[in-house]
Amino acid sequence: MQPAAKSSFAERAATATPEPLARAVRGLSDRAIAWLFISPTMALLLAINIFPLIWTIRLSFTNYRANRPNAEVVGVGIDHFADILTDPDVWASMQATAHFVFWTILLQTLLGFALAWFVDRRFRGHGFWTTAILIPMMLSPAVVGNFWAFLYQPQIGLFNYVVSFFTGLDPSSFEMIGSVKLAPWAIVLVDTWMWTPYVMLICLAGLRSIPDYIYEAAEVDRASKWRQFWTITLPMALPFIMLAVLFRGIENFKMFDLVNLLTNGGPGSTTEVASITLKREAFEKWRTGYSSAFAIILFVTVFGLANIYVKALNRVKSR
Amino acid sequence: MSGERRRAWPRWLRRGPMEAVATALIAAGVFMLLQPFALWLYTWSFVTTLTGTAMFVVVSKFPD
Repeated sequence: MQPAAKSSFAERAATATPEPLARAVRGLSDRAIAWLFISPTMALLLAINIFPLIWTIRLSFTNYRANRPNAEVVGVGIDHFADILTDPDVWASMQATAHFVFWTILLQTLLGFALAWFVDRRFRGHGFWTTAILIPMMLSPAVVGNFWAFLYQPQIGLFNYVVSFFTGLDPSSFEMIGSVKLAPWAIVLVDTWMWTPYVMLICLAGLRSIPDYIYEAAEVDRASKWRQFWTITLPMALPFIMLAVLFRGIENFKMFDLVNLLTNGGPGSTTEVASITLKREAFEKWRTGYSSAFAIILFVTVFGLANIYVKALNRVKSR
Repeated sequence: MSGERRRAWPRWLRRGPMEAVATALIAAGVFMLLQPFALWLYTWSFVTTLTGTAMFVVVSKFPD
């Protein structure tokens, strides 16, 4: 047991520290020690997050090109921002992003909530099925992208044969990632397969947070199961659903890995989402200033959404 | 924040309603960025989102 005089954080740290260092530590206040502990993290954050962000903001107002480091760098004001925000091609890539975000969120929310509702019934073997459902979420996006690219191959892929088995279509009559019409849906399908379990987990937490006595009171009032669902289950799980929607919205808005591995923006520019356009501008056309401006636009959007996400998260926590 | 200062703070400038306005601006900006209907909406989307985000950061320090 520590003496009462040595109960402060600084004293406890000093007793567990070698004597020469302990002498120096004893003179410090708790606040100074706290700063000492977090300073490496702060320095790391400044070096790898804050400095690159400020540097990117600076570059977005210049004509800098990373493949010509010795060329003269000239300030261009807000020209890059004006170019990006009036370019119909970039607007088209935003619409490709919107298509992807809208359909993945819709499907993942509906399927995730339905799965959570079934798992919450606690049927026999529900533990095994919960684990089995969660497996896709635990895989690396690089692995998922590569094996779905194989599954989608029209000649050797399993996907076309499964579709053919259920619909009677010729397996080689359609290409999921080579067709202008089907490629956007191919990506939506893979993302939904991978991330529906995540939405299910959040919805399950929401469903399990509803106290049983509310349902018991509803039973006493002879409310039907249908009415209980619409007046108890859904309203009380709604903050959790909103949380899942916001989180998946932010993640899918900046989606890169799956799209890059499956279609790389093709065919043509059908699946060229914003992050693929950004990669092409930055590392294929080497327009570093322009792509920095584009990155800032995407960053502000994600940052704004993240603020709403944190607000929703606090609301859920305060329940 | 002291109760006296909270009472002096205008009701319409309190954190709750101002955060709601900022959230609405961010949501409108994101919709304008992603919508397929009008190029001018897309053009003004960044300014709208930036205003909403900056406003959110500022008003989150206001008293409840």
